[in-house]
Amino acid sequence: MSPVLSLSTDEISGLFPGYVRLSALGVIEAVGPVLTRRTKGSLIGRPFMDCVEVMRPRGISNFDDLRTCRGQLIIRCPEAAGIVLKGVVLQRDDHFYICAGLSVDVSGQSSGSYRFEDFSMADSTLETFLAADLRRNLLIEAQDLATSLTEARNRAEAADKAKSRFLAEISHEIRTPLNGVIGIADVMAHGELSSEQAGRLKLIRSSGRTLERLLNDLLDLAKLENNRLQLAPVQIDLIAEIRDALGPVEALARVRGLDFIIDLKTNSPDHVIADPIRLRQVLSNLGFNAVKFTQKGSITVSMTRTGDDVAITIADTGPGLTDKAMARLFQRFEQGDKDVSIRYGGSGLGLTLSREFARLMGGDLNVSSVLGMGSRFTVTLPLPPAPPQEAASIASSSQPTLRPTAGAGIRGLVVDDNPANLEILRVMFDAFGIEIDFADGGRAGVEAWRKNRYNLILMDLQMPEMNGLEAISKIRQLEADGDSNEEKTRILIVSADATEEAIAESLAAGADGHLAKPLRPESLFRAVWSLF
Amino acid sequence: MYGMVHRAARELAILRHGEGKWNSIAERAGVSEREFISAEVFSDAVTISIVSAVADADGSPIDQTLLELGRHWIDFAGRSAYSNVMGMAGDTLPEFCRNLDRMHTSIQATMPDAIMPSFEVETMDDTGITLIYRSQRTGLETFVQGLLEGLMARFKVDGAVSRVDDAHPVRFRLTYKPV
Ligand code: HEM
Repeated sequence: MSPVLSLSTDEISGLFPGYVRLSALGVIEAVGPVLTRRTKGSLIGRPFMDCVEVMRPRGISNFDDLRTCRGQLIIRCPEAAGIVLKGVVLQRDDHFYICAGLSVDVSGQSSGSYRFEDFSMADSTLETFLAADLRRNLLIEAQDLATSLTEARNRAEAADKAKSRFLAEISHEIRTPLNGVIGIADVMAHGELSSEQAGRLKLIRSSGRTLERLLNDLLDLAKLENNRLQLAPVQIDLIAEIRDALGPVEALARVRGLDFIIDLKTNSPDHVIADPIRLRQVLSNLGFNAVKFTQKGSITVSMTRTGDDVAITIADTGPGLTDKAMARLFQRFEQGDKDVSIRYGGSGLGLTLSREFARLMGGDLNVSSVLGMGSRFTVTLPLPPAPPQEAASIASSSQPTLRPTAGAGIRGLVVDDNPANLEILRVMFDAFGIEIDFADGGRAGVEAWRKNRYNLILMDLQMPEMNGLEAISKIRQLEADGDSNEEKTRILIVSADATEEAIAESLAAGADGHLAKPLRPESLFRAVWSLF
Repeated sequence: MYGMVHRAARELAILRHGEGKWNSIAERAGVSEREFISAEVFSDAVTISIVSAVADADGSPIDQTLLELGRHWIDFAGRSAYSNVMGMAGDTLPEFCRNLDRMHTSIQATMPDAIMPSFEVETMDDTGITLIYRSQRTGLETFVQGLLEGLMARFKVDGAVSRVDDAHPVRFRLTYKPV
């Protein structure tokens, strides 16, 4: 058999970079670039079988076995960094060739040790190897990209949190002076006014209330964003609660000449467990919204119940919404239509908050609408029935009427370190003929009480040195140590924190009641009269 | 070109002008994060607009920036995802030059949309190397010049790179400084 190809050494190297040429006796005469670079010629002149381990086929232990081997050969060369070669044995004249290429490790462990010359020009091992290497590195790039996107998102979230905090803080800062304006305007409304003054005062009061609502919305939003908004579910009379929440809406609707239809006949149990404050907020938001956007026609409120799920729908005959407007409706600071927001005003927060509240309560708020025909907002809430035996302790929303008696016999003390609050209270008490003194902190309050034995104290909670609860404990202790026939001092806590815990804590410290800021003349005097 | 080329240009610009200035360069070039994904292909127009915006920031003609981008690419590839490939292409300048063509051919399998150049060693002796550069693109000669200068620096070879003449195909001469 005559050879078909006669190749130069370079050509053999290009095709079989791991080749080995052996003499008839099995001594290494020449090697390809894979072995040259790694062994620096140290193999030349040595018996092949001394320099390699034959891994396949099994059982080859001497050169004679190798010479006659016709299958695929896999050998390991310990002196050449343990590389593995794959090839076949060929005999040419009196020489033997192990025609081999590198068996490449594509796991990425040893790529640094390969050179282009290690790869045959005649196959695609190099391409495969580079593809593995490049793809691995591109994957790292993709991971880096993902990491930097995550970091960017975290930074954005942190900025968002900082914004919410700022929002919460600034809202609190605005609240105090705003309460002053509203409180004093409320008191002035009870005084003698010309009709012109009365008109202007009405404007001040309604603007003040609008500002206050906006501020409350912002605060709620900040709380929601910080996951700090907590529900306070109690037993409520559902139908009474809905009617109550929508009472002002109905009044406004009638003023606007709209029909207000309320149909709450269902198989619903009277008493359910829900957070009345948030429920009212959602309903009154939806109700006022419906009135705001409806020029003529009606507002219809209906309710259905499926299992524990209650669906309350408020439908209007307003202009309706486009699909685009509906999609944007629940986004923060969006109103269905910019023109609408100019005409009707509003922060655009109401619906966002309503949906968030509904979801927080385990339900949802959805809208459906036909342009030109009106919109239907449906809030669905899981409202489990209240256990019957506790129905007596239902939070009652029916309110006692204001008793317009003069404040004879009441000697009041207001303990508060904020002069703005003091001024509002002074104006309110003046209007009702009650004289009061002030103490600008807990310690001063206890001192003043010791001297003058006031029978009514309005106590702020957060004050430096001695806080409100400490001052109450002190006074209660002094009372207990003193003459038991003496009239007991009525103490009302005045605080912005109206959570159940806060109220319970005040009562435990010895207060007789709790008044939520912002103070309104009506609620203040209702609380005061109830104690005398 | 592939986004990896844009990455090298971005790195060069940031090294020169800082992150802050880079944002305005990118804005000027009309590119976002996306154009810097190595494995994505973009039209050459995008590449040109990035290099032009960098040149504007450098206050130099585009050819100068291309030259520097060429030098920078060698450094960039040597440090980045391509460092293994660079390492495999050779331990000496002549060996590397011989492998340039094979390198691009083999990479093509992974980057099928690349329009690869071709490099052929025409002569090679103790005084230097003559290299023929063939490309489907035009106008990248200064980039190649920078690349070859970068390679000389990589292998710590003292010398210079020059165009042999204006003829086609384009020939570059890498001349070693006599010792
Ligand atoms: C690991 C290193 C390298 C990689 C991964 C690489 C990859 C590539 C790729 C993908 C392209 C095609 C661009 C496209 O059409 O998208 C390209 C072009 C090019 N490469 Fe490389 N390359 C490398 C190193 C080098 C080196 C060291 C040189 C030195 C001379 C070089 C010279 C060029 C040139 C001049 C072009 C322009 C293409 C043209 O003229 O059309 N490359 N390279």
